[in-house]
Amino acid sequence: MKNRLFYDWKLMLAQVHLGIRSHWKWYCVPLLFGMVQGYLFFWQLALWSQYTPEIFYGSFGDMIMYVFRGMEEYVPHNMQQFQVPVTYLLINIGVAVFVGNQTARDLEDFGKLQLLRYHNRTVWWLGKCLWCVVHILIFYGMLYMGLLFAMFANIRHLELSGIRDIFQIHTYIYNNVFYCQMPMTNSVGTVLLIAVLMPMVTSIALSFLQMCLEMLLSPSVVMVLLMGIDVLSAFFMKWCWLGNYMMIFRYNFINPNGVCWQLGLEIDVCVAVLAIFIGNILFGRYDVMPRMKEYV
Amino acid sequence: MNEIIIEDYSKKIKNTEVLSHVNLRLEGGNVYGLKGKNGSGKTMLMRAISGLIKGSQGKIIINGEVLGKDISFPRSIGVLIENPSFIGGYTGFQNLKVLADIQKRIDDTRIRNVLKQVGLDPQDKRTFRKYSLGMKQRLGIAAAVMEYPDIVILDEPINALDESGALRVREILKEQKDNGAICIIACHDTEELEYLSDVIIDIQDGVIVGER
Repeated sequence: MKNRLFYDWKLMLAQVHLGIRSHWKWYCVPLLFGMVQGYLFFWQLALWSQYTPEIFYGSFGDMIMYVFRGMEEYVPHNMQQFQVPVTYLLINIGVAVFVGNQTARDLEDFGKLQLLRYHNRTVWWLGKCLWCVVHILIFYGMLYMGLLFAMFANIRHLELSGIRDIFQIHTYIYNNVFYCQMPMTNSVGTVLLIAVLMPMVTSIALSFLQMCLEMLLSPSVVMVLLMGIDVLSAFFMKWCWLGNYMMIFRYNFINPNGVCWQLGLEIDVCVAVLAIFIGNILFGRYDVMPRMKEYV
Repeated sequence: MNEIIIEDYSKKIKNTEVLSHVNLRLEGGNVYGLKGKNGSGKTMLMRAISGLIKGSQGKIIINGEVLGKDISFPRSIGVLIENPSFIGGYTGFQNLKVLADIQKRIDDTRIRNVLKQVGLDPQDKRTFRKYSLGMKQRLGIAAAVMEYPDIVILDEPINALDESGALRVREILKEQKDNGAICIIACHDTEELEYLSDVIIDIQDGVIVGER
């Protein structure tokens, strides 16, 4: 029994290794995206500093806030035009394209040959879930690395008096560059921890959901559904729309009516666990064959 | 001896019965050729025996174990169904090594030998992405037979192969047959199919119409 578990674990790790190794070039995308976002941040900072000289210094903490700020609550009756936050949507699309591409296509390709040798659908499925977690961690890791590159390239805009300063959030940037006038009620450390942790956890939950739904629907349909969840999350500031947990401006430490991060974490974990469980049942009944082609 | 018993097996997809009440008994040491038009259900029958699809009715018993109940997949099987698909950035050897490492039944020498057997160079540094259609097909065959499986399923094995490649397939099938494997092949070239097979199974609209 112990040997069997160890063997299954090794198979899962092998699947993670293979998944990452065979797609490593694609991780340049989040790296470049992070760099572009970092440059955009400093560009905006430079623009503002022309008018308001005190807005000159930024920090890595500000950059994280900039990328994961999302949008404030959308109130339709204010005649305000609804605009989906582009950065938030692009991150979600990036993760979804990777995940959908890997799982759906793999079963029509090399994954089929692996599956037959695994002799166990559950191990294969859990291996894919594990790959998904590692993949998302690398995805976000590369995005942060891109931000770091941009930060060091624009070092003159930074206060580098110590590690504490790098991770601080400047209120003047928060108010003037992000146009958010609401006060932050949590400590900077907690805010940054949430800004780093919650998008990752939410992405993992959404990706598991995506993999699970792909057992029932075609990958492109699932992709559209996920985009729908992302857009609706931006539209409705409600606890049930997972995308809200990827936008810092939607949290209750900025907006009193906003979502609570502890609840978000619980919901993310519940969605992830349910998706793994239901996905495993669905995959157990799944017919491995080309979807877009003829059946026979 | 290896044995596959298919009992009253049917498969329905979106209200279309792609396999209908199939009853077959396949024994080791034989090559079974599936003959039928496009869309007759040959590939679907192969998928069913591989455990890749779940039947709507009936059962498949492989060496005494019911597929989908006692086992999810046959314990020892090599398949080439549809186009051979491997990791684009890996060489032929690396691709086979990844697969062989799952069960660890064979060593690197066997992988090299099977590559030579299908007419590929084990030292070739070209990645799968750069392989010609024929080379891809050869690698697909190598992956299917390298672990001396009890069941070998080859769908259109001589597709994209030249004459020497087709001859190699004949040799490989003979070797597998002599090892006691159940070989199941489908091929559009009727002459070649008749030459390669010990038993021809005629299939039409998902129904087995003859066995000779």
